[in-house]
Amino acid sequence: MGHKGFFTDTTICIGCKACEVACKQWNQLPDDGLAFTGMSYDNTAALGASTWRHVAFVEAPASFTPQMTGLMGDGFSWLFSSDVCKHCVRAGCLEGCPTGSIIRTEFGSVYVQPDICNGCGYCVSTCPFGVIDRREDDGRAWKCTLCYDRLKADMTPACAKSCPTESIQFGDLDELQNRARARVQTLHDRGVSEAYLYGVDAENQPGTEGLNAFFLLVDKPEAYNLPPDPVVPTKKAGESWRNMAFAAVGMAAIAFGSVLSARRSRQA
Amino acid sequence: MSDARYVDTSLGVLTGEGAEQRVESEESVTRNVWQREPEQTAGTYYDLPALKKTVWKVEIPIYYFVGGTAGSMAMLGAAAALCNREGAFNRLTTYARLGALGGSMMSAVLLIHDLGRPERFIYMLRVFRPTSPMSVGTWMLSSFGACLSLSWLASKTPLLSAVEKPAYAVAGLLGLGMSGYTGVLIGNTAVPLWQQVRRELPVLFIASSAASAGSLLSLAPLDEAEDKITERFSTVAKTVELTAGSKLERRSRQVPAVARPLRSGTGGTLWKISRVCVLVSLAATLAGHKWKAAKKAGGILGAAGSLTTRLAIHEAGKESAQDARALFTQQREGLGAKEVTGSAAVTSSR
Repeated sequence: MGHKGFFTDTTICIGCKACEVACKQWNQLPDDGLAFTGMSYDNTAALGASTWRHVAFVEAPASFTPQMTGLMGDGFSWLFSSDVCKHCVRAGCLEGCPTGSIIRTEFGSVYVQPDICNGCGYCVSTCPFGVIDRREDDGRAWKCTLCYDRLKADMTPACAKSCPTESIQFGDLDELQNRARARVQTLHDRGVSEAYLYGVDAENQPGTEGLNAFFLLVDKPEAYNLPPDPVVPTKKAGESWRNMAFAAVGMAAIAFGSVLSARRSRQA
Repeated sequence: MSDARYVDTSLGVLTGEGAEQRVESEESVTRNVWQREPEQTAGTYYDLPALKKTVWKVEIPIYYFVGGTAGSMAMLGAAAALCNREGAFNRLTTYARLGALGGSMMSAVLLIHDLGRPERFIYMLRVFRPTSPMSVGTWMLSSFGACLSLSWLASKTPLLSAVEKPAYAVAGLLGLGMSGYTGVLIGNTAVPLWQQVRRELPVLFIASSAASAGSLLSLAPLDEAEDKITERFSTVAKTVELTAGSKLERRSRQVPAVARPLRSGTGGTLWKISRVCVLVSLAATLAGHKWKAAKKAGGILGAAGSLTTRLAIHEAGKESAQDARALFTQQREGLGAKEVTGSAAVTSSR
């Protein structure tokens, strides 16, 4: 209740990139230069400090039930997925930020306050999805804000608003989760057995305890450049701190040991 | 020169979330045309990295060395100061405190310089965030510097002399944290190599800091008893460092793809050099009983070995972050969330 998110149904994405354009335009982000990557129709390649929506194009010599292309004996599929910040329930960037710049908003989204960020770069390394980045020109870290300014005005985020097929669906998180589960069931009934949800809740993705921006995928996550078992690094930090404590006590003991043994030998 | 936004400010207002982004060069992102067969990059997305490049430059591993050494110097100096009967260890405590103080100041300079917005360095002290090793470390570094300064000042000011030892003791305690928290910091990231060896990193860093502190102090003009202290201290520290290093290597090899940056490339070369430096410096320190020159060599090589260790870990991590295949393999082999949550994420409809 009150928590908003995205449900991205990649089976109805048509790869039009309206979401990329809308995001750039609404947030007045600078362009990243025109590039030709040769990676299917993906000339953006990845999310970054100035790119907060990125459409992935996966061409694979594998058959995919809903796509009868008449190519390679139908052993060819072309998948599209609009990648975005996942606004994780347990966010690596947020838990690592030392200035308190990265916060959880009242909508459940993860937001970087650009007037506080001092560009330490820790969030860049703690994000398990490789979303947030620091812009070298600017010095600060930036990422999708889930259109915080639009949310506060009770509007739909730019990408969801512009999506012509409603592949990007925005709304209350629990409603989206129900819709997504029903959609997967529908697809399975229609014979699209490959469909599954990625990050819909804590049980589905225990490492992040669920994503506020979750996906319906039809190939393994690696095909879309998504990690198969992501985890917020803080969940694993306990052992690290404990070992540091043991080593610290050990070194202190060695220090005192060295000092006391020298003192005794001096008196001898 | 446009700021790559193409907004005519007489017609539109720049109030978007990203409107403040400073743009100095339009072409910030370069791409190489992908020219491989789909089969060659199967299992990844055009072999593109799945994580972002670490943004830290060489100042940061140098800081691991300088800050860690300063912390360990303070720890050893504090131990000597607390057991300093009849002023037997005056020289050691003085040099250790000065070294630690200089190191802590240099640390601040290195860290501030590496920030994207250095003028905002003080924002590090806006909050205390226990989940973030960087936040904990920043507060530790600040208190460390403050305590050392107070102790040094007290040693020069008769009015404050009662504070000298307590301040030194607190600095010594914080120094233990200074020596090891950076290992926790990089273990607490998504970088496959660093995350995999997160248990060994703090031990390696503490031992490495202690080794370099002992090594550098052994180069100072100390008397016989104090020489014994630095010799014993650095001998044990170097032994622990070599042990921790080999444990780290073994842990990294649990997933061979993750261990690769430590075995080859820049990281691999630096790592091998660091192992050799520490081993030779250990031998030289032990031989320093008989030969003065060996003691000096042991000191210099000990510090060099410690610095090289940090550079090796840093370079290897940088490369590891760019390897999507290693990340995916690591997680598929149960070393992702499954390691701590007991169950892995759903990756198919089955």
